[in-house]
Amino acid sequence: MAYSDKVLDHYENPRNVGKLDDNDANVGTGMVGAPACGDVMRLQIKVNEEGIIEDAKFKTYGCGSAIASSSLLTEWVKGRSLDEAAKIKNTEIAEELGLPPVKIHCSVLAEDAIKAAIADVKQKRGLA
Amino acid sequence: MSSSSTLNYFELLGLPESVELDRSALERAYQSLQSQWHPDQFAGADATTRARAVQQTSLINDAYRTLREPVSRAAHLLALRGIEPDRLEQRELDPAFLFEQMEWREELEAKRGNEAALGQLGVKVDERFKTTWRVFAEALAKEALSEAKREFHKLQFLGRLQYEINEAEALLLDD
Repeated sequence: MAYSDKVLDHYENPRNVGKLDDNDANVGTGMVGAPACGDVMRLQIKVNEEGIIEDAKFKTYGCGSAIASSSLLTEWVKGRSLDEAAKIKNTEIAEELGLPPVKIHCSVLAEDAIKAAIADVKQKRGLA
Repeated sequence: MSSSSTLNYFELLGLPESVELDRSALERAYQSLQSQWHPDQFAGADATTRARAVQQTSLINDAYRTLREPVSRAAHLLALRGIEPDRLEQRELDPAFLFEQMEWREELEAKRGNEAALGQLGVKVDERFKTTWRVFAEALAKEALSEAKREFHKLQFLGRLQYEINEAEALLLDD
Protein backbone atom coordinates (compact mmCIF):
# COMPACT_ATOMS: atom_id res chain seq x y z
CA MET A 1 0.00 0.00 0.00
CA ALA A 2 1.27 3.45 -0.85
CA TYR A 3 1.72 5.86 2.02
CA SER A 4 1.04 9.56 1.57
CA ASP A 5 3.99 11.98 1.61
CA LYS A 6 2.93 13.25 5.03
CA VAL A 7 2.87 9.75 6.50
CA LEU A 8 6.28 9.01 4.98
CA ASP A 9 7.66 12.27 6.37
CA HIS A 10 6.54 11.42 9.93
CA TYR A 11 7.64 7.82 9.51
CA GLU A 12 11.12 8.74 8.35
CA ASN A 13 11.49 11.77 10.64
CA PRO A 14 9.25 11.07 13.62
CA ARG A 15 8.84 14.08 15.90
CA ASN A 16 9.12 13.87 19.66
CA VAL A 17 10.12 10.24 20.01
CA GLY A 18 11.10 9.46 23.56
CA LYS A 19 10.03 9.10 27.11
CA LEU A 20 8.99 11.42 29.94
CA ASP A 21 9.35 10.54 33.62
CA ASP A 22 6.11 8.82 34.56
CA ASN A 23 6.84 9.47 38.26
CA ASP A 24 6.49 13.21 37.62
CA ALA A 25 3.06 14.36 38.84
CA ASN A 26 2.85 16.68 35.82
CA VAL A 27 3.35 13.86 33.34
CA GLY A 28 0.44 11.86 31.95
CA THR A 29 1.00 8.55 30.20
CA GLY A 30 -1.37 6.93 27.74
CA MET A 31 -0.59 3.35 26.81
CA VAL A 32 -2.80 1.79 24.16
CA GLY A 33 -2.68 -1.12 21.78
CA ALA A 34 -4.30 -2.68 18.73
CA PRO A 35 -4.22 -6.46 19.24
CA ALA A 36 -5.20 -7.32 15.68
CA CYS A 37 -2.03 -5.73 14.27
CA GLY A 38 0.08 -6.00 17.44
CA ASP A 39 0.63 -2.25 17.62
CA VAL A 40 1.57 -0.67 20.93
CA MET A 41 1.64 3.09 21.46
CA ARG A 42 2.85 5.14 24.40
CA LEU A 43 1.98 8.83 24.38
CA GLN A 44 3.06 11.13 27.18
CA ILE A 45 2.36 14.76 27.95
CA LYS A 46 3.90 17.17 30.43
CA VAL A 47 1.55 19.83 31.73
CA ASN A 48 2.53 23.13 33.37
CA GLU A 49 0.83 24.95 36.25
CA GLU A 50 -1.59 26.69 33.87
CA GLY A 51 -2.76 23.35 32.50
CA ILE A 52 -0.96 23.84 29.19
CA ILE A 53 0.81 20.92 27.56
CA GLU A 54 4.41 22.05 27.30
CA ASP A 55 5.98 18.81 26.12
CA ALA A 56 4.85 15.59 24.47
CA LYS A 57 6.68 12.38 23.63
CA PHE A 58 5.69 9.13 22.03
CA LYS A 59 6.93 5.68 21.21
CA THR A 60 5.00 3.49 18.80
CA TYR A 61 5.67 -0.01 17.58
CA GLY A 62 3.47 -0.48 14.59
CA CYS A 63 2.91 0.41 10.97
CA GLY A 64 3.82 3.71 9.32
CA SER A 65 0.31 5.10 9.78
CA ALA A 66 0.33 4.39 13.52
CA ILE A 67 3.75 6.04 13.90
CA ALA A 68 2.71 9.04 11.81
CA SER A 69 -0.59 9.45 13.72
CA SER A 70 1.16 9.56 17.09
CA SER A 71 4.01 11.73 15.80
CA LEU A 72 1.59 14.29 14.35
CA LEU A 73 -0.49 14.27 17.52
CA THR A 74 2.51 15.12 19.74
CA GLU A 75 3.14 18.15 17.48
CA TRP A 76 -0.47 19.24 17.68
CA VAL A 77 -0.97 18.98 21.44
CA LYS A 78 2.05 21.07 22.43
CA GLY A 79 0.91 24.50 23.59
CA ARG A 80 -2.71 23.41 23.95
CA SER A 81 -4.70 23.14 27.17
CA LEU A 82 -5.82 19.69 28.32
CA ASP A 83 -9.39 20.49 27.31
CA GLU A 84 -8.33 21.62 23.85
CA ALA A 85 -6.16 18.53 23.39
CA ALA A 86 -9.03 16.29 24.46
CA LYS A 87 -11.13 17.70 21.62
CA ILE A 88 -8.78 16.51 18.87
CA LYS A 89 -10.61 13.97 16.77
CA ASN A 90 -9.11 11.02 14.97
CA THR A 91 -10.80 12.24 11.77
CA GLU A 92 -8.61 15.39 11.85
CA ILE A 93 -5.49 13.24 12.11
CA ALA A 94 -6.67 10.91 9.34
CA GLU A 95 -7.49 13.86 7.10
CA GLU A 96 -4.19 15.65 7.71
CA LEU A 97 -2.22 12.48 6.93
CA GLY A 98 -4.48 11.33 4.10
CA LEU A 99 -4.99 7.92 5.69
CA PRO A 100 -6.89 5.37 3.59
CA PRO A 101 -10.00 3.73 5.14
CA VAL A 102 -8.10 0.58 6.18
CA LYS A 103 -5.72 2.74 8.25
CA ILE A 104 -8.29 4.90 10.02
CA HIS A 105 -7.96 2.68 13.10
CA CYS A 106 -4.38 3.94 13.51
CA SER A 107 -5.68 7.48 14.03
CA VAL A 108 -8.31 6.13 16.45
CA LEU A 109 -5.47 4.55 18.43
CA ALA A 110 -3.69 7.93 18.63
CA GLU A 111 -6.88 9.62 19.83
CA ASP A 112 -7.33 6.90 22.47
CA ALA A 113 -3.71 7.44 23.55
CA ILE A 114 -4.00 11.20 24.11
CA LYS A 115 -7.31 10.74 25.95
CA ALA A 116 -5.65 8.15 28.21
CA ALA A 117 -2.67 10.46 28.84
CA ILE A 118 -4.98 13.35 29.73
CA ALA A 119 -7.03 11.14 32.07
CA ASP A 120 -3.81 9.94 33.71
CA VAL A 121 -2.43 13.42 34.46
CA LYS A 122 -5.85 14.62 35.65
CA GLN A 123 -6.03 11.69 38.01
CA LYS A 124 -2.52 12.42 39.30
CA ARG A 125 -3.54 16.01 39.97
CA GLY A 126 -6.76 14.97 41.65
CA LEU A 127 -8.90 16.54 38.93
CA ALA A 128 -10.59 13.40 37.72
CA MET B 1 -22.22 -11.62 13.46
CA SER B 2 -24.24 -13.47 16.06
CA SER B 3 -23.39 -16.94 17.26
CA SER B 4 -26.31 -18.41 15.37
CA SER B 5 -25.12 -17.07 12.01
CA THR B 6 -21.43 -17.92 12.39
CA LEU B 7 -20.63 -20.97 10.30
CA ASN B 8 -19.08 -23.55 12.57
CA TYR B 9 -15.80 -24.56 10.94
CA PHE B 10 -15.39 -27.53 13.28
CA GLU B 11 -18.73 -28.93 12.13
CA LEU B 12 -17.90 -28.18 8.51
CA LEU B 13 -14.75 -30.29 8.81
CA GLY B 14 -16.41 -32.93 10.99
CA LEU B 15 -14.08 -32.27 13.92
CA PRO B 16 -14.90 -31.95 17.61
CA GLU B 17 -15.17 -28.32 18.70
CA SER B 18 -12.22 -27.77 21.00
CA VAL B 19 -9.41 -25.39 21.90
CA GLU B 20 -6.77 -28.02 21.29
CA LEU B 21 -6.86 -29.63 17.90
CA ASP B 22 -5.44 -32.88 16.65
CA ARG B 23 -3.32 -31.58 13.82
CA SER B 24 -3.28 -34.85 11.87
CA ALA B 25 -7.07 -35.21 12.19
CA LEU B 26 -7.38 -31.70 10.77
CA GLU B 27 -5.12 -32.58 7.84
CA ARG B 28 -7.05 -35.79 7.13
CA ALA B 29 -10.43 -34.06 7.25
CA TYR B 30 -9.18 -31.30 5.00
CA GLN B 31 -7.70 -33.64 2.39
CA SER B 32 -10.76 -35.84 2.32
CA LEU B 33 -13.24 -32.95 1.94
CA GLN B 34 -11.05 -31.24 -0.62
CA SER B 35 -11.10 -34.28 -2.88
CA GLN B 36 -14.81 -34.83 -2.24
CA TRP B 37 -15.66 -31.28 -3.37
CA HIS B 38 -12.95 -30.82 -5.95
CA PRO B 39 -14.40 -29.05 -9.03
CA ASP B 40 -13.02 -31.85 -11.25
CA GLN B 41 -15.55 -34.20 -9.64
CA PHE B 42 -18.34 -31.96 -10.91
CA ALA B 43 -17.05 -31.26 -14.41
CA GLY B 44 -20.15 -32.83 -15.98
CA ALA B 45 -22.64 -31.41 -13.49
CA ASP B 46 -25.01 -28.49 -14.01
CA ALA B 47 -23.94 -24.91 -13.32
CA THR B 48 -25.66 -24.71 -9.92
CA THR B 49 -23.94 -27.84 -8.65
CA ARG B 50 -20.58 -26.68 -10.02
CA ALA B 51 -21.00 -23.31 -8.32
CA ARG B 52 -21.87 -25.03 -5.07
CA ALA B 53 -18.75 -27.18 -5.30
CA VAL B 54 -16.59 -24.10 -5.82
CA GLN B 55 -18.22 -22.36 -2.87
CA GLN B 56 -17.84 -25.43 -0.67
CA THR B 57 -14.16 -25.74 -1.59
CA SER B 58 -13.59 -22.13 -0.64
CA LEU B 59 -15.34 -22.60 2.73
CA ILE B 60 -13.27 -25.71 3.43
CA ASN B 61 -10.10 -23.75 2.70
CA ASP B 62 -11.19 -20.94 5.04
CA ALA B 63 -12.07 -23.44 7.75
CA TYR B 64 -8.75 -25.25 7.41
CA ARG B 65 -6.68 -22.07 7.54
CA THR B 66 -8.68 -20.68 10.47
CA LEU B 67 -8.47 -23.82 12.60
CA ARG B 68 -4.83 -24.59 11.78
CA GLU B 69 -3.43 -21.46 13.47
CA PRO B 70 -4.02 -21.25 17.22
CA VAL B 71 -4.80 -17.50 17.29
CA SER B 72 -7.37 -17.61 14.48
CA ARG B 73 -8.84 -20.81 15.97
CA ALA B 74 -9.23 -18.95 19.27
CA ALA B 75 -10.94 -16.08 17.44
CA HIS B 76 -13.34 -18.55 15.82
CA LEU B 77 -14.16 -20.18 19.18
CA LEU B 78 -15.04 -16.72 20.51
CA ALA B 79 -17.09 -15.88 17.41
CA LEU B 80 -19.09 -19.09 17.89
CA ARG B 81 -20.00 -17.75 21.33
CA GLY B 82 -21.18 -14.45 19.89
CA ILE B 83 -18.02 -12.52 20.80
CA GLU B 84 -16.49 -10.25 18.18
CA PRO B 85 -12.87 -10.06 19.29
CA ASP B 86 -11.98 -7.22 16.94
CA ARG B 87 -14.53 -4.94 18.53
CA LEU B 88 -12.83 -3.66 21.62
CA GLU B 89 -12.28 -0.62 23.73
CA GLN B 90 -8.93 0.23 25.24
CA ARG B 91 -10.18 -0.41 28.76
CA GLU B 92 -10.61 -4.08 27.84
CA LEU B 93 -6.84 -4.39 27.48
CA ASP B 94 -4.68 -5.19 30.48
CA PRO B 95 -2.47 -2.08 31.10
CA ALA B 96 0.33 -4.09 32.74
CA PHE B 97 0.40 -6.37 29.73
CA LEU B 98 0.67 -3.39 27.37
CA PHE B 99 3.60 -2.00 29.37
CA GLU B 100 5.31 -5.35 29.13
CA GLN B 101 4.65 -5.53 25.39
CA MET B 102 6.30 -2.13 25.02
CA GLU B 103 9.33 -3.38 26.96
CA TRP B 104 9.58 -6.53 24.89
CA ARG B 105 9.35 -4.53 21.67
CA GLU B 106 12.17 -2.31 22.96
CA GLU B 107 14.12 -5.44 23.81
CA LEU B 108 13.59 -6.77 20.28
CA GLU B 109 14.86 -3.50 18.81
CA ALA B 110 17.94 -3.58 21.03
CA LYS B 111 18.71 -7.22 20.24
CA ARG B 112 18.25 -7.10 16.50
CA GLY B 113 21.45 -8.50 15.06
CA ASN B 114 22.26 -10.66 18.07
CA GLU B 115 21.17 -14.19 17.28
CA ALA B 116 21.62 -15.63 20.79
CA ALA B 117 19.76 -12.75 22.44
CA LEU B 118 16.95 -12.99 19.89
CA GLY B 119 16.69 -16.70 20.63
CA GLN B 120 16.34 -16.02 24.36
CA LEU B 121 13.65 -13.43 23.76
CA GLY B 122 11.90 -15.92 21.47
CA VAL B 123 11.88 -18.57 24.21
CA LYS B 124 10.46 -16.07 26.71
CA VAL B 125 7.68 -15.03 24.33
CA ASP B 126 6.88 -18.67 23.41
CA GLU B 127 6.59 -19.56 27.11
CA ARG B 128 4.26 -16.64 27.70
CA PHE B 129 2.18 -17.67 24.71
CA LYS B 130 1.79 -21.17 26.16
CA THR B 131 0.76 -19.99 29.63
CA THR B 132 -1.62 -17.43 28.13
CA TRP B 133 -3.09 -20.14 25.92
CA ARG B 134 -3.81 -22.27 28.99
CA VAL B 135 -5.55 -19.37 30.75
CA PHE B 136 -7.58 -18.73 27.59
CA ALA B 137 -8.59 -22.41 27.39
CA GLU B 138 -9.62 -22.49 31.06
CA ALA B 139 -11.65 -19.29 30.70
CA LEU B 140 -13.41 -20.66 27.64
CA ALA B 141 -14.11 -23.98 29.38
CA LYS B 142 -16.00 -22.18 32.14
CA GLU B 143 -17.61 -19.80 29.61
CA ALA B 144 -15.92 -16.79 31.26
CA LEU B 145 -16.12 -14.95 27.97
CA SER B 146 -14.80 -11.50 28.86
CA GLU B 147 -11.77 -13.11 30.47
CA ALA B 148 -11.34 -15.34 27.42
CA LYS B 149 -11.53 -12.29 25.17
CA ARG B 150 -8.89 -10.47 27.24
CA GLU B 151 -6.54 -13.45 27.05
CA PHE B 152 -7.23 -13.75 23.33
CA HIS B 153 -6.00 -10.18 22.82
CA LYS B 154 -2.79 -11.10 24.64
CA LEU B 155 -2.39 -14.08 22.32
CA GLN B 156 -2.74 -11.74 19.34
CA PHE B 157 0.02 -9.46 20.64
CA LEU B 158 2.25 -12.41 21.51
CA GLY B 159 1.65 -14.06 18.14
CA ARG B 160 2.63 -10.84 16.41
CA LEU B 161 5.76 -10.58 18.54
CA GLN B 162 6.69 -14.18 17.70
CA TYR B 163 6.32 -13.28 14.04
CA GLU B 164 8.57 -10.22 14.39
CA ILE B 165 11.22 -12.23 16.23
CA ASN B 166 11.15 -14.90 13.51
CA GLU B 167 11.51 -12.20 10.87
CA ALA B 168 14.51 -10.72 12.70
CA GLU B 169 16.09 -14.18 12.95
CA ALA B 170 15.45 -14.86 9.27
CA LEU B 171 17.18 -11.59 8.36
CA LEU B 172 20.27 -12.69 10.27
CA LEU B 173 20.35 -16.01 8.43
CA ASP B 174 20.16 -14.21 5.10
CA ASP B 175 23.33 -12.20 5.80
